[in-house]
Amino acid sequence: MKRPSPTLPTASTALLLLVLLAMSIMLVSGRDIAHQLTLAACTDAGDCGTFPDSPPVCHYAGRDRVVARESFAFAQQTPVEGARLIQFGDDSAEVIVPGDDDSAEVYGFLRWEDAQRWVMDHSSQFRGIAGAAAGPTGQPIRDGYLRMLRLTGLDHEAELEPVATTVQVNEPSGPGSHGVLRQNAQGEIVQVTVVMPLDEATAELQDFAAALGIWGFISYTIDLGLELKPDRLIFGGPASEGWSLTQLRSAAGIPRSSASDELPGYAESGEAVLRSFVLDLTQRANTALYREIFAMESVSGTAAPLLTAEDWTSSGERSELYSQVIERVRSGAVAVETTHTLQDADSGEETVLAAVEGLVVQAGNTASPETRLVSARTADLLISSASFDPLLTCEPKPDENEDDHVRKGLL
Amino acid sequence: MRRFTLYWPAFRAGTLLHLTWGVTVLALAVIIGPPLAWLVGGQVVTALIALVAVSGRALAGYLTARQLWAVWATPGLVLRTTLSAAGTGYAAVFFPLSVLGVSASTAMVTAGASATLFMVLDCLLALAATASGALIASRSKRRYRRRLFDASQLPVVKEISESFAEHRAKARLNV
Repeated sequence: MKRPSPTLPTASTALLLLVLLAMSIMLVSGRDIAHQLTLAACTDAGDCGTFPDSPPVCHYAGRDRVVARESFAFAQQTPVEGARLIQFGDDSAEVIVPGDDDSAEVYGFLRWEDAQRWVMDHSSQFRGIAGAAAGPTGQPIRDGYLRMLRLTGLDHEAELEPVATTVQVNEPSGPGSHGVLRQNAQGEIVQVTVVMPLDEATAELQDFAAALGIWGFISYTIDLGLELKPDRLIFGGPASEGWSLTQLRSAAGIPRSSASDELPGYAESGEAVLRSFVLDLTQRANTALYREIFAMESVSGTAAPLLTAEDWTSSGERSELYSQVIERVRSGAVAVETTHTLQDADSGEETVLAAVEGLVVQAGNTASPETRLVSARTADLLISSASFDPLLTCEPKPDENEDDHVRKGLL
Repeated sequence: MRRFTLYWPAFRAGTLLHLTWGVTVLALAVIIGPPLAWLVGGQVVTALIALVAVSGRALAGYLTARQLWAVWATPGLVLRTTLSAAGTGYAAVFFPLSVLGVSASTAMVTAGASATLFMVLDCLLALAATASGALIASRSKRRYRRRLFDASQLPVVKEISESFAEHRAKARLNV
């Protein structure tokens, strides 16, 4: 009787080698296939959860809409543990990954679809599934698989490098203030954002904020170009109720505002409203004002422009400076007002303030509630009769004439 | 000192089996896992993948050991060969990936010491699954061996018996 051989038959060996080769080839493009299958599955289910989605913005011409699309955040969310994702109105997105100290790394994506892929690659859920192939303890198999693709040149995407880093600063503009300095890959400061709580601010700053229809806190953001040349200045904060553009235009100096400083009604309904005023610092008048109210100060080992009026000027000088700012705002700023729903968060003053601060600071590692834009409106205050116009709807107003349709580029 | 001996043909076959299974289950986890997780939940899919992986390793151990039991190898040789093949196949697929994963510079990196411990624990689990498959294969081979001692079932014995019966029948007719 012939004894069975303790080896695999030739056919079985060939079959195993064939399967090994086929699976290895599939692994090369496995991540892309998984991305497509996952998006198809969640799209069919009607909810892709924390995956970024395309923002619905109409492609209008007009200075106010262009400015708004570049500045407002469509959504902020925590797609994976330890990271924060911000989607912007121009389809781009950023992921902020905090470091061990007060710094954070910012990864930029020109398209929201690329941010989708990043979220999937770093999902702890998906990481655990790949690790289960090795065993139940959760080895970083997926991270190793992605790294193997890059090292062998099989990944068509280059290793993602941070486009910027951010550093938190404390009390840069008076007591209670805090902010973020954003540095590009070359170490140059490109943006300064400071939040100033109004309950610790001077009376002049409180009046200034009230005139702009802002409560809770007021923030300023300075976008800088080459050699710290300022490009844009934004004042913003949670919108108060009972405010209108008419009040802003009504009188010289700081107008007396009838806006309420109490918790707005929208805060109880799970919404947060951010009101911003954008000044173009390439205009000479705005540049002159900027040089008066901001000064280069040393902070966190570097020089950055900061609002020094709260610390270094008298009450009368502060009032005069803020009056000039109001004048520049009412005569040439772009007003942007965005309404956001709070995702899975309790309503209330603290939540609303935290959500709006996240939308203002953007690139900071603030632990903010998740939000999603529901509506936005803009007004170009350079036009004396301008009023707020909706940004996200493409439906014309009932009393608009044909010339307005052509100007706005409606289909 | 006893020598650590392996049956190399079975070792090669077993290593190929475990290598192929490791790559296959990894491909399934990477490609099918995420969309399934979206539909039924990540924990369910993770548990399912882990169960499939362990079951496959037990089956590979069974297939490798069955060949050895069939040639009446000693239990020690069977276990040494099947477990060595399993360890080699598992390590060839998952150890490099685990090391690369630990060294990847992300904000969520696992500490090196704990990652090494996890590697060892998962490998031990894989070996345990393989050993269980090998022992199950030994039970089926022992039953086969007991039937062998019943000589009347051997083909040559059957042939002789039939020939004898045929000749006896012819002899009766001649008489």
